[in-house]
Amino acid sequence: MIKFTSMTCSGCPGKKFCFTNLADDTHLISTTQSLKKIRVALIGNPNTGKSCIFNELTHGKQYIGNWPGVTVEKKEGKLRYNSYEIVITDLPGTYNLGAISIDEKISRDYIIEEKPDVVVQVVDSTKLERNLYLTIELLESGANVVLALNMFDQLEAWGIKIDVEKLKQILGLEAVPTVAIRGEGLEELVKKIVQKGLNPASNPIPITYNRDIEKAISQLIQEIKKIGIKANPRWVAIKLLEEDQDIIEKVKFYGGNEIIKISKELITEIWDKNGVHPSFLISQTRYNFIKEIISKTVSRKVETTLTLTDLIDHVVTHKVWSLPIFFIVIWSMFKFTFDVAAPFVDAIDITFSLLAEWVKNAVTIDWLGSLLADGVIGGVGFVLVFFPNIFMLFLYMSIMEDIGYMSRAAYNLDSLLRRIGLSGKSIIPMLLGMGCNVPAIMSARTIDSHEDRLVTILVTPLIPCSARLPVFIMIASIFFAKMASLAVLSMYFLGFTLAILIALLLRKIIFKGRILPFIMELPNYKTPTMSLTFSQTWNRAKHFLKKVGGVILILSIVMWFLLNMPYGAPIEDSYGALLGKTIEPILRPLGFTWEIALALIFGFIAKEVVISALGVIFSGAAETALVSILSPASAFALMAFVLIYTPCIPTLVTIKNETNSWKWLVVTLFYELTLAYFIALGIVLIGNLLF
Amino acid sequence: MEYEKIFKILAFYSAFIGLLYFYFGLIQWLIFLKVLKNNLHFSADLMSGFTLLVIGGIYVSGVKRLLDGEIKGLSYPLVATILSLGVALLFLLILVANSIEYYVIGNEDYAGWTIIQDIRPELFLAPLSMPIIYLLWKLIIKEKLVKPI
Repeated sequence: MIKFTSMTCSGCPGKKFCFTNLADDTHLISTTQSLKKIRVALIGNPNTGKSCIFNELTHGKQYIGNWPGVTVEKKEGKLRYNSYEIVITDLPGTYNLGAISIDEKISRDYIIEEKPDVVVQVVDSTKLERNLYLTIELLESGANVVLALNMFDQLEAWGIKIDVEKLKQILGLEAVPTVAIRGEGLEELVKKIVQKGLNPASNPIPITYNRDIEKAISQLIQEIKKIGIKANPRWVAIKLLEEDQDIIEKVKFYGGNEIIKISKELITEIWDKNGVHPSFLISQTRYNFIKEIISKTVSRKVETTLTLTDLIDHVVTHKVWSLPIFFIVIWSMFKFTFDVAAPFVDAIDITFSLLAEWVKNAVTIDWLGSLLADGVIGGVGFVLVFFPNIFMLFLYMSIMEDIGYMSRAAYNLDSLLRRIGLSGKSIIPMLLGMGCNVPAIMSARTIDSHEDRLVTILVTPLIPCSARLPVFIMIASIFFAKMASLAVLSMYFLGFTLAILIALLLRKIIFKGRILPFIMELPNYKTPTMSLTFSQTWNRAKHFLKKVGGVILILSIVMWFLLNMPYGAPIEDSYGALLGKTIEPILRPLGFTWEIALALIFGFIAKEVVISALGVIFSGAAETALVSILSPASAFALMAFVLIYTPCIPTLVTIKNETNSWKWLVVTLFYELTLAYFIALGIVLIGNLLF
Repeated sequence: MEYEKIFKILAFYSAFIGLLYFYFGLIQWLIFLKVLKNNLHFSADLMSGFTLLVIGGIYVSGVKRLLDGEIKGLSYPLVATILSLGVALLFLLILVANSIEYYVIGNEDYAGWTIIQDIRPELFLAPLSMPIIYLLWKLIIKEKLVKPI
């Protein structure tokens, strides 16, 4: 086992290792040396630990999840090693270079067009056979490959032994065993990156196809060289024989229409002669080659038997037990978020109440005292009170992701979705949406089908994100006391149900088309690591704090001004009240007053602002005031309205960017506002009938 | 001890513990649905009852496979035990949180609260899974019947 040893850096005493992040000047080893730049791409199958290696090397904080599809765009980080500046790009996971989905296309385009000096393919050592397909394609593309044989420590438990030297010899590349999660082998990996970066000769092509294919490749290479396409001619030739649509378009773009014509003739010729399409022959040859490599380099002590993961999955993915277990996990999440956070919430609440009281007494200028106590503390403090809930929610989600349960949840819900005619791939963005809708919508890039992707983007805002949680908690704790966590849980149930129903409706009416199969690799269960879990939780939770200190603070002050202008006038005659009263008639059937209407207008910017706005409007006495203006049915309707009525501005911007169209942004806004109104109205009517 | 014997012990003990979980789950539901009066020291909760029923159900549904000596039969006591311990940990944390509310913060909503109210079935049933943990550890870790991954 290669163990990581420390390197010298005055900036990081006591660090496990000190590859330096250039963003942090304290880590500079030498500021006078001129640095040679090496560009490195991290690529690999999904869930092999690429982002973990990226974070370890660059001191980065990229989101890591024990489930596939967490990286959907390329991320860049830097490290300094001796006199080299190594720029690392973490690419989305892909099984091959035949790009179908957007994230796969991002990875392939970077490797082919940007031509990084070194390509590090992160391989799951326990699944070497499956990972080598991408290795072969990378070598064929002319990439300068180094293999990071990750999760090397798990080989022993699997009874597997890999002859690394032989593997290097057969493939003609460098390979380094690593355990990214513990930083093991990464020093060696960086050394190999530098060696390869200094010697950018591409690796020898390890594979030869049958005579017909090789003849066609040679013929096409001659033609491809003439058009000056920015890619390895042999790789382009193979892709043309595989009829890769993206490459065909690129060749046409470079004026290679004649080449396409030739390739089509060659395909027909090979097909006639061999009885199968050339793409079949190519992949068959690759798989045979992989089999040969595995037989020469991998030895197994015992035949594969059941693993602990198999045992757990037998029940967790069981047709009867999977959904009840999922409900228990989700219910536990809310119990944890709600009940365990309660004393922290109360402690913060008391602190802010005392602070507001003190400020009001201490500041002698009336308006300033009111601005600070009612505007700033009343608004920001009222939102900050819910920080423990947000932290607990993210902590629970991080633990579930680290363990490996979230991918099982996606797998289990897939079978449910497929039964009603929806793509299972939509479920990953939906689950991610419980944290924040923005990355969730972006993660829809992993969906191959254009229709499924659009449907997923349009319904993901219905999934209750963490910003809506404080609103639910506040209303539920005021109106539903002991049933509060159940009331919050019901909002998640409502959100998911609506998302599924709307998706189904869109699929049946607008986006008719074939549903592509969903293939998902289930990772092994892992014991969550404290450091990783807490750093993931903190990275997400601090986003909430930043929002409180930024947009929520500003809007609380704006709200205070609106409610206090003209100065000295009663609040009912303020500009804020005027604004609220303009909307009030529309919301009156739902039992919402002008105060609620005003808070909802501000909630358009960010959902937490609904809370801060109510805090400012009711000068810190929101709980008593809400009980006097809302019936329990209207309170529940308000929760549903906040859940549905409109995505926040960053989510709308993401919808526009991801669909590249204003149309879908307007559609989302319109349908969500309408849906919110009628669902809330339904709740009020039924609630008033029942109680 | 032979595997066969351990599997049989696991089967019978799973049946016993499963029925206990099932009983307390059912009681909670019947109280919640107002079929029974609540004479218990803890409040009846719909989802808590559901959780106990599911855990009990998983324990019991593995009994036949364990009696047949199927390795996959181990899945049922394994997952049910993980769930029961997870839920027990959750209620232990809630107990600690409620104690802080009562003793440290002095929240008036908690007036009259006693620790005994929080000693729920999820908590007092969990220690009963210790023999199952021991037997599973023996089979999986010591006897390496299953790879520990």
